[in-house]
Amino acid sequence: MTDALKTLWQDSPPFDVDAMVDRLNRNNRDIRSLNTWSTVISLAVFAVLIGLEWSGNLHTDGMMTLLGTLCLVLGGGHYLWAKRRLQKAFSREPEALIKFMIQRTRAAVNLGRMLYLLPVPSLGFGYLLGRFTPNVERETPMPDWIDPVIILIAVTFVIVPTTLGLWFTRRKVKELKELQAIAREMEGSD
Amino acid sequence: MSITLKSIVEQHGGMISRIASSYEARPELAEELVQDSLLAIWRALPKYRGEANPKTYAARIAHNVCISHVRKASKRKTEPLDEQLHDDTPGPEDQADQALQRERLLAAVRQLNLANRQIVTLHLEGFSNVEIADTLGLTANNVGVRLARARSELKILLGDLSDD
Repeated sequence: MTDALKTLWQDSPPFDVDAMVDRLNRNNRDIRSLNTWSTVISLAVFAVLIGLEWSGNLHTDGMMTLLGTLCLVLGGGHYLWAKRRLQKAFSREPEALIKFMIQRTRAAVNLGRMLYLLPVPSLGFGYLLGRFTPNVERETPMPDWIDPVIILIAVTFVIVPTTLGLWFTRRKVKELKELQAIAREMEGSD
Repeated sequence: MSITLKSIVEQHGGMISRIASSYEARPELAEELVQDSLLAIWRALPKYRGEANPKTYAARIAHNVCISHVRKASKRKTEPLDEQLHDDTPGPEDQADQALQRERLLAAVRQLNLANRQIVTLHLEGFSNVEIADTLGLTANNVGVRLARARSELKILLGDLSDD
């Protein structure tokens, strides 16, 4: 390959970092605004649909709850997507990025803790509900195998999220410690 | 030896941008690739022990990010990238001669297969065979053989431009 080709290749217009950062900042403003609106709208739609259905104004057999939840999930998905875009924008400013990543990891740690802390009271609540709900006379008795199935389902609902929550939290706490160490290192080097 | 993201952006931003352009013809996606590469470099910086040349280190990460992008794009089976290039670029009469030649070179490099494209891009960036081998995890001999093959392929694609 001739040197002329190398020169031609390397002679491209200079990499304009400032222009890129400007564009990113502009995109960020749009994303932040879109993000706020999508979160507010999805929460509002969720609340209205569930409120209508649960108050008995609509008899749609859970369809509205499903739609409301779907809307909330889409809103949440959009929120995460927007966060990723914002994270990219910070790529040239390590200090800002590390703060953002620490916040995000801390939120993930809390989510993991919820995963293993919530199933236990939920199961307790379920037990109390079952224990104190008046028994209805059934025309046909429950089959014998139903008890082990109920126990299996209940245990699965506790064991799976608890294990997942513990594993996830442990991983995220480790990541958080690493990030905090990097942040301390950065502060020290200033 | 410690390097900062700022120094990499200032010294090798152009190289990262050119590598991204050799994988993606659409300017907005090429810019996303640059941002992804910078983010990946920043994340990898705490692990940098100063053994590799910063330029080699940055090029290796940029190539990995670009290859992941190409893999994802090929799974999505999007339309051919080169068609997009012809749609987006202004007509030849509007372009300066050198810019036109650069576009031809870039388009030719994009037509090479991934392995050859990596080698040619780094060679055009001024990397020696040993540095290319270090970046891509190959032997210098292997790089020499592949480079010779890629050169002849590029010569056919470029036609008269390769003789200049």
